[in-house]
Amino acid sequence: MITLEAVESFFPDRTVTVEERAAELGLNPAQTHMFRRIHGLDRMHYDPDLSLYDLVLPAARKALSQVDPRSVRYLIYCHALHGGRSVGPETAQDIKRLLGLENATTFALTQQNCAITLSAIDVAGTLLRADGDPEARALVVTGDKPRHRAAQLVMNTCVVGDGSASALVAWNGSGTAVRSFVTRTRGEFSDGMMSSPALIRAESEMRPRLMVEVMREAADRAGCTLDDIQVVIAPNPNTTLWQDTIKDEALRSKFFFDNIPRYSHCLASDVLINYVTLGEEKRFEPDRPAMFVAIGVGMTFSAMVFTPSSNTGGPRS
Amino acid sequence: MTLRLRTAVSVLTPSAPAPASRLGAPDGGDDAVVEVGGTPDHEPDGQPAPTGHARLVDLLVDQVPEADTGPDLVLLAYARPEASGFKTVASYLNMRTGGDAHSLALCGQGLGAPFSAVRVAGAYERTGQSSKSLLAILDCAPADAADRPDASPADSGVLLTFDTGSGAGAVDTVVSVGSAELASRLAELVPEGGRLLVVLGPGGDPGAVPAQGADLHRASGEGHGTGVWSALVQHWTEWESAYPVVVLCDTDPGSDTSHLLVLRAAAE
Repeated sequence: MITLEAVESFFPDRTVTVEERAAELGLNPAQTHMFRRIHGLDRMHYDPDLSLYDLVLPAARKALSQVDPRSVRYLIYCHALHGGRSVGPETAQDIKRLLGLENATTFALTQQNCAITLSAIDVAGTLLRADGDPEARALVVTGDKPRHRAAQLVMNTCVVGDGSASALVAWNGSGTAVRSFVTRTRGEFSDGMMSSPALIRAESEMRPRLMVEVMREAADRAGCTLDDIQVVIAPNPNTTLWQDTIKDEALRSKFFFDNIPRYSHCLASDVLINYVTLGEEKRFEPDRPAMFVAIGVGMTFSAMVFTPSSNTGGPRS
Repeated sequence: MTLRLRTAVSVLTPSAPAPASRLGAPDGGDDAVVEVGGTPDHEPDGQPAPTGHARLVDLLVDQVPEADTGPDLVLLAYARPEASGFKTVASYLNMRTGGDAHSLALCGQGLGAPFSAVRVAGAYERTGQSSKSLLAILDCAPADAADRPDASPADSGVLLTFDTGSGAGAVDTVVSVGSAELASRLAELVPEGGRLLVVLGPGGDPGAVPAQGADLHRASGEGHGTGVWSALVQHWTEWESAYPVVVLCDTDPGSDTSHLLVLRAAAE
């Protein structure tokens, strides 16, 4: 099965409070208040002088540090923003060159917005499995650096922070085992926030049901139930999205929300960032299933069940 | 790999730029967002007419027989992105072809993106995760194409569907090689019986095509990254009965890398 051999994250040194960032973005007091009191934001990392490469490369280099770079057969850069003004067509190849992975087949995956990371793990693992070389690895690199004000405030409800993460993927390695992956896309919402008000309302009504369906199916395919899941790792757009999406309080209590006030929303990197935090804080119970979930504008719902290995990070002794 | 080409359609159409009202924020910040307090720019009925990649998707899907839709994997590949990222076109393509697929876009590899997309489709097929996949390869002319001598003011697209099986259209190999290696790789593909057809993109070196046992077809350069695929659509019916092996070869001038897709045909 697909395994995560290493996952690493990175943030620039500069941190700002939500009030400081709101002021930089020209928000009024009522909007600023909304982000702190309603959406649960507190602070985030944000450095306007940071390049996209400065953001994504440190985590990628850390993920690569334990392996022979020649074993990396695929480099997949996944980005949430997919307009050409946000990510140039040469970005993935530049990352390959800067990492010295000249022999890795390199491309980018996108157009699931913040859900793309889970698909990228699945694509990476599937390519390795099809190739059949147990020593081969794939590096999944995530991170976006929106340059324009409008892209730093997503859907009126998220302030995008700076954060990136990378995962080293293997087939049948010794790391965290991916036990299932389920994804559903509802293309009638492909216009995202450009959808009509009626479609946006329809999306809000559909979202809770479909998210839980996907989660249940992922658990079922992994041979467990949602009750068995020790923790659900979701993106960090804000707290209200998840309150609106996961109506069941018992299920919502399994979600890891601690990084929303720490880092705010780092787009497609959130799920891996949160995985790293849980590992560093020794909050995984080894060999008990956990779950990634993601919702991407446009509109994709994904869930992936995994079992942390004993070296992923167990409880504090 | 037993991925097999089932359907192939293409479109080449004069570019239709997005109306000014949909070009996005003046600062270019138009990636699936609206400003706080802002209002999305909707057409009166809330459903703006498709432009760019979505328009190409409509033109392509309308040509595909319904029996060939309903894939479980939908891939969208392009060499150059649309400027605006408002619409998630991979999701739209998924909806237009059945709505039950795992869908995403593959890019960031120049002319190699469609080749890697076939490789991904083949991997999902070989691992039993897909039995029916669909790939759209799209290109929209840049806004200033009409004023540039090096750019065609046309939008182009190809849609391929794949199923599982051997015989005509079976995908044999997808590989990328440096230019120094291209001639030897092509020489290895010359079959013992019959001839090899090399479909070469605009940047390819015809000198790399074997002098013995091979024929050359030069693809047009009207679309960026779609030329060899459009040629496949236009000529596959005749090629599959005339050649045991057909190889599509597109060369990225920037990286000096040639991407090859080897197809087995009925004449084998």
